[in-house]
Amino acid sequence: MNSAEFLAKVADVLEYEGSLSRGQSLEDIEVWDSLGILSVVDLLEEIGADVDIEQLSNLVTTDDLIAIAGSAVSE
Amino acid sequence: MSEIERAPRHVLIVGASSGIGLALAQKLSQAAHVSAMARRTDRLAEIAHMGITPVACDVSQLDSIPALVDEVVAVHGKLDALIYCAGKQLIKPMRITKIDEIEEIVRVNLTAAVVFAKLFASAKIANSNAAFCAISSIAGHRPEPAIIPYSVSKAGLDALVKGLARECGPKRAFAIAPGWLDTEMTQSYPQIYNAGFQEELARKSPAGLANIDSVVDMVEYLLSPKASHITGMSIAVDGGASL
Repeated sequence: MNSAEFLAKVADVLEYEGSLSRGQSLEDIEVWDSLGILSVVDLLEEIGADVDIEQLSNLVTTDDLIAIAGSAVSE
Repeated sequence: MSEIERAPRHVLIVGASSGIGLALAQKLSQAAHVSAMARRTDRLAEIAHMGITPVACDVSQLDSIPALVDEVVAVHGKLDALIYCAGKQLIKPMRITKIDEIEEIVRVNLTAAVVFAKLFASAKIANSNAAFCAISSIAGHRPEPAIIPYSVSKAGLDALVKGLARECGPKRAFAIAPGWLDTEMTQSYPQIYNAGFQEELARKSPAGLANIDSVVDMVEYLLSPKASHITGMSIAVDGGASL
């Protein structure tokens, strides 16, 4: 999965209206709340990335999210 | 001592291979015969030397339950207590929860418990002074976000014991509602149940963090003659975290 496909999946589980772009600030995404983070945890588990909520809560941009997905997401 | 006041002699524990169920099997087997049901019987084999009878049972296979209970009663006598500990957790926001996940949670946590309760109600299965105990959760009293199907199933258990207590007296029925405990079930969610979560839980528990022993002690008390007039209740054992 490439980063664009991954961000599309993130937008889908967050039910974010619109598309997410690289470098976008997570703080500016209204649905990046505790339930949104749990939804992304579930997505990351599905694609084989192992993370915890504290790690996710400390992320700043969508690039950090891509980085945390590790080898499951290619550039 | 009247019949109603005596301690249980034959206890059936459902979901006895880990956590609260395993701890209860080990404790109650010191004074009663314990029949221990679980899907993972390899785990039960480890405690069989304590005089506990292991019985393979996948509670999600509802149709298999009556014959297994009949067999346990035929071999070891009618039940004095039936403790339902089997349970699954699911931590997910509702919007991404799948229908088959909801169905599985409700089936394991609640529907199977209702089947066991139906059997417990029969005079052929349980003595007139018997007690039914369900391991519920404070989530049934106060559902938290992201565990709603789980909370619904546990609230169902609380209704089950109330109804059972009313319909089947003098048999008793009650539920224990623990908060978050350090068990295999909670450890299976390391992304949630991490050090930060546990610190926050301890901070919110005015009487201190509850543990498996706290629950075992409460069950032991409720099964004892000292609690012979307690029925239909769901009792929180959470150190006050849900207050």
